Amino acid sequence: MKRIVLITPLLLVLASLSNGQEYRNIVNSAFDTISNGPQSAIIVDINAAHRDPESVWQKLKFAVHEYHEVINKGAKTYLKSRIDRGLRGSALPFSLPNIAVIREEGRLWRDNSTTGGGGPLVLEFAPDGSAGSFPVQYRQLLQSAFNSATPAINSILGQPFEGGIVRVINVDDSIGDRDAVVGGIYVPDDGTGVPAILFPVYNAAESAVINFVHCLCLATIGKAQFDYDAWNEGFARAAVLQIARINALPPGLDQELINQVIEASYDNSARYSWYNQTPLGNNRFIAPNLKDLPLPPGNSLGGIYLMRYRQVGTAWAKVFTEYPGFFNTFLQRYYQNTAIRGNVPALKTLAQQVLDDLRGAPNSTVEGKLFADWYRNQWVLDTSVTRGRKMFVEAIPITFGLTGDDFGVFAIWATFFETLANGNESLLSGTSFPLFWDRDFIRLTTAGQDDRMDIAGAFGSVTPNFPDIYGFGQAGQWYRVTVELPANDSIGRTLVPAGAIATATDPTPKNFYGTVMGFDGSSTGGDPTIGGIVRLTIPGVGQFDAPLKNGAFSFQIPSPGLNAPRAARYDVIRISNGIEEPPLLSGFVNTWGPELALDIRIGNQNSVGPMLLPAGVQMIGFPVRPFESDMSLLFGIPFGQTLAARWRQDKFDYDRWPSLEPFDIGKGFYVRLPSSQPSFTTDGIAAGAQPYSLALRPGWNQITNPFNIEVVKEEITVQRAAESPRTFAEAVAEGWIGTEIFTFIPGAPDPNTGIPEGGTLVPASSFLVGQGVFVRALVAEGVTLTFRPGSRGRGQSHEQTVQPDWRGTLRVSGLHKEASQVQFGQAVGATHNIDRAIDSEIPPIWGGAVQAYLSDGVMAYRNIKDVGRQSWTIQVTGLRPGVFYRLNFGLAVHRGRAPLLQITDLNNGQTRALRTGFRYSFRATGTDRTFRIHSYVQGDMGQENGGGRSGRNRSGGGIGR
Amino acid sequence: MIARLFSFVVALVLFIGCGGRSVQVTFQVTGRVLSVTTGGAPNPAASVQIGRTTALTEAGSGIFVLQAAQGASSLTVSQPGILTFVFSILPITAATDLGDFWIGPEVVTIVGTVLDAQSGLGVPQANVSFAGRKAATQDNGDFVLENVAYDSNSQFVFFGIIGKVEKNGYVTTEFSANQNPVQGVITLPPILLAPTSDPIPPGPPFNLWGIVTVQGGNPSGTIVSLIFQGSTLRLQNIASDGKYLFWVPPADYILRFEKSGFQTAEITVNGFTSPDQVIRNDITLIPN
Repeated sequence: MKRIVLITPLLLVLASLSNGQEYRNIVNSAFDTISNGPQSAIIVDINAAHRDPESVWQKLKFAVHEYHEVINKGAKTYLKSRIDRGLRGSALPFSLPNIAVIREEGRLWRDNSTTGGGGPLVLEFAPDGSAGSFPVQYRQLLQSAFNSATPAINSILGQPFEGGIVRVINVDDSIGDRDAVVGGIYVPDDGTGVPAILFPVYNAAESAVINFVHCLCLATIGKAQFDYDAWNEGFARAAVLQIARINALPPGLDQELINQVIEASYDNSARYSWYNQTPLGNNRFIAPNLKDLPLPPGNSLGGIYLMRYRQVGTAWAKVFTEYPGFFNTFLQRYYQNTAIRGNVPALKTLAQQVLDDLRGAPNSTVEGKLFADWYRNQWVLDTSVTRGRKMFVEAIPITFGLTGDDFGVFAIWATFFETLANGNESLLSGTSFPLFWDRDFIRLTTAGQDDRMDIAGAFGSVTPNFPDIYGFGQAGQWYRVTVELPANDSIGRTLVPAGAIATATDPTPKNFYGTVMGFDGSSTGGDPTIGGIVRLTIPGVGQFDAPLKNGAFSFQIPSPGLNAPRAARYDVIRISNGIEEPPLLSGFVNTWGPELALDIRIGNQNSVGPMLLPAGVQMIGFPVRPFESDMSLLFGIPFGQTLAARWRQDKFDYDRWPSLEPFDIGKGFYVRLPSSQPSFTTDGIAAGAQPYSLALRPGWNQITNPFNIEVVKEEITVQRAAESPRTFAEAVAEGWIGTEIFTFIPGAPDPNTGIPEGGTLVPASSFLVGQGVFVRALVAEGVTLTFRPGSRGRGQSHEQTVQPDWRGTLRVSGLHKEASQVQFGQAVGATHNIDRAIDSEIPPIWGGAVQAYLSDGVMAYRNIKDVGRQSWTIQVTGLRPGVFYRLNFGLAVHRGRAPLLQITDLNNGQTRALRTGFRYSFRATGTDRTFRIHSYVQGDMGQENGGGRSGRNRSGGGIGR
Repeated sequence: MIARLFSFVVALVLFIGCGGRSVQVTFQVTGRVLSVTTGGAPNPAASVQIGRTTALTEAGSGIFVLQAAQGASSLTVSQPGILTFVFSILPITAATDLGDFWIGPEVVTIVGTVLDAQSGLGVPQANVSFAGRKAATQDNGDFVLENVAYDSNSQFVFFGIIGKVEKNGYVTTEFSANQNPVQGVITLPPILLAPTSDPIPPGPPFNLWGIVTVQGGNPSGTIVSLIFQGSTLRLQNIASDGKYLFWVPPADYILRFEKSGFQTAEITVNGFTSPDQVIRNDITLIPN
């Protein structure tokens, strides 16, 4: 809150000054009584036309002067008596402090130009030639940059938090490569209590100046530095963008070079939307362990850090675009309470207050969103340390040197790393087999060298040319390409518009382009009456309609359309028979640079819940990437009580919270909740309206359905390296993935805790929403599963080749939802042992839950045997004596006639025919119970059956039906 | 005359010698050399030699391409200021991508053991590869990778190198060598290979566990109680493998072990402060 406080003389007749004034508190409510208000305040009302600091100051001075005049007149006698008695000099007024309140339209006035009051910064360079000194000309250049930029810095960020000396030290010999790349270091204390800028010697004057201004911006915040780079560097870099834009820089610099420096290290305005990916988040942009690591030669930048610095400048510049007074106002208020420097929720609350005050309206927005909502959508601003392996994908359109059939040429760069404790990062090596998908999610093949991406030191690249698949020579048939880079069980993803930016036949690059997921616009080969546009409305500039074709759009906005910071609006509009329909999606985007690429996803932000999350152990996943990365906060459980784990095949162990990656689309986790959450809800980014792939590493993978509708196996394709996609059944048959997928059924409540502490894994036939599942990849390079809800039956299935003649399922259920089941059946040529294509061994038992298994030589969940007379022994363990259990049976016949089956409870000898709908209940007399199933060929059942018996007996069993 | 005759004979021998020799078959091989200091291509370029053929690595990528003689089985990488690295490769029989070869200013030895995840026994003849070094496991599953490139000043590049263990009948497994060397040797924890014939998903997570052994008996039927502040939180009736497994929030606990005919034993669990700790306490029960 900014108020101008004046010390002004007060004498007597205060009441007379307040005639006609209405005193209001900070929320603009009238004071209830005269005793709790500023009874002596000087009220100065200003209007919007005269709110510049100079005008306000003049008006204030006049008001104070008037005030003195009135007071002096009223107090003349009193003053004279004091002077006469020698109690004061004749030139001095008798005074008490008073407050001047400045109001605009009845509200307290906040002055953007009000300062932190710390006084100016003074640069102190080491004496020329001494340690830490710069070459003379370089020092002069830095001083010149300071002189030129300081007024602009003070205007944008306000006065420094603390004025005084800032040492500028040449650390060219010792600064880490990464720190040099991103523009130098500011330290609030150089070890002697004095702040310092640690700066290298850059070859180009333009680099030196821009980077030095960046350090000056950090020095302006000074000792009030936030705990996170996302805030410090964000403010500083956004300020640098503005300073460069208004050219508050020393004369004689090359503007083109300045632009290059800005683009390289400070700004991603053109493609911010493409690069807004989850791996960006961290508490520190340069991982502490990488600080002093040298950079590799070539294209690799040695990690993700530079992308963070570029994205964060753009992110905060978006706020500045709509609220030029934001940084100044925010910082002045923040300086009043820097204890919130590491409290992101408090900082966000303050930011919202500042937006509201600057706009003069509650619920003010950035890019159409409340600040907290906007903030959580900018992954670079996620200050939480989220563990795990991460893949970031950078797509760079190639727009020069295009020849021949070059249509959609992109450099695809991967950054593959793992976040460790404390924000440290490991630069991973490995291999990715990129997946490129067209509009209809059919795999695109490009040149052979793009099939494989070798990654080392975290970096890998390919440069595919996405071919002209829709145009057949006709210009302008651009289309959406989904690029997926799987590595290990991480997958990076970005969408690019092939043919929409520059092609060999249309080489002039466009400046407004991108993709839409959820509506393709006019589709080649589709309904010719349907079309679409992406309309960009730039206030004060114009409205531009980019044709939307095959999920991609492209347009050349004439100069100077995008060349100034603007709060623009975009609309995705469906056109039916030439008539525009109401927008399918509208949004806002703050433009800054000469280009604008957008990745628009209709319906990709989604909520999970409200839903019941039961207490106890369960295996779950969400069809969103929650905005909340911290599991403890996500579930509202104290840190130490949070139990979550995810299987890591390469470690042959679980990663456990807090050394655990966050929830993400398609990732399954074990969690244990100490109590149920009847209305759990979380918001996050959803997969969107197109298929979604999950990367599987060799061995077991704990995954979940990426969508919020059930997906069956027939709606999944499997990709291995550069081979064409297979159906799930084909992939099983080829040995790419395991036969069975398993899900978890919690056991009965533990007698001690009252909640399930264990359970059983059971084979699953489909991927239910929110259910964690174990899937097994069997090939060395891993595979990807692509979930395609709604595509059932489109792909050829080899399911018939592995189905038995018949298959029966016997299920035992007990307390609550505790259950376990086995399957048995017959097929020509099957053996008594485990046949990989159709049989399945028993999954692990956990925590004493009930478990059924087939125990004929091998322990199995499913055992399909050869045709003819056969028997199966079923063991049920984990029973609680005295508790009733129930058996249910279902039969599926795929070929031939239904089998003749009998079941015998070996505990009591009871035997009965086994048919679909069979039920049998029993009270457990021990922890185990055994049953035997016999199959008979037609005609001999009577000899073996012996008629069977029914009815209750002393074991407590009873056969129904 | 004699001199001319000698010259002729020498020429004939040379001619016959050359003509009689089979033409050397070569194949184009490729690969990549990476610096363990930076994680990227060596700078300046490194020299790669197979047999008599030499090539330089590409500046930005570290990739090399050269013609290698059939049967060649070693590759030498040298770079000014860096150790010379000699790598064993499979004998060249066709055009091949040889993969990545890491070089650096130091070397370490990596030792480890590959175990069958189902049986716990060593897996012999598994192929272990890391940073261009390869080894086969011995009968007991042990392996040694020598002269692995290392840089103690940029350990996190080394930590990011992913090694691989492959053997027919097992799921290929990756590993990292993210331990500090002791006297130049990094000792890895056991690497577990899951047999492809073992389609059983992983068991549940746990963070407090141990193995109960019983003097002269079978641990089956031992009751393990987890006690917190005097109250029993969990009971587990353990099986013949003797394992007890709990997944619980960190706290100070008491583990009580009871089996008929044996002395009851207790273990106090201290220092359990974070859910990602895995605490192991084994115990042997003694007869009454």
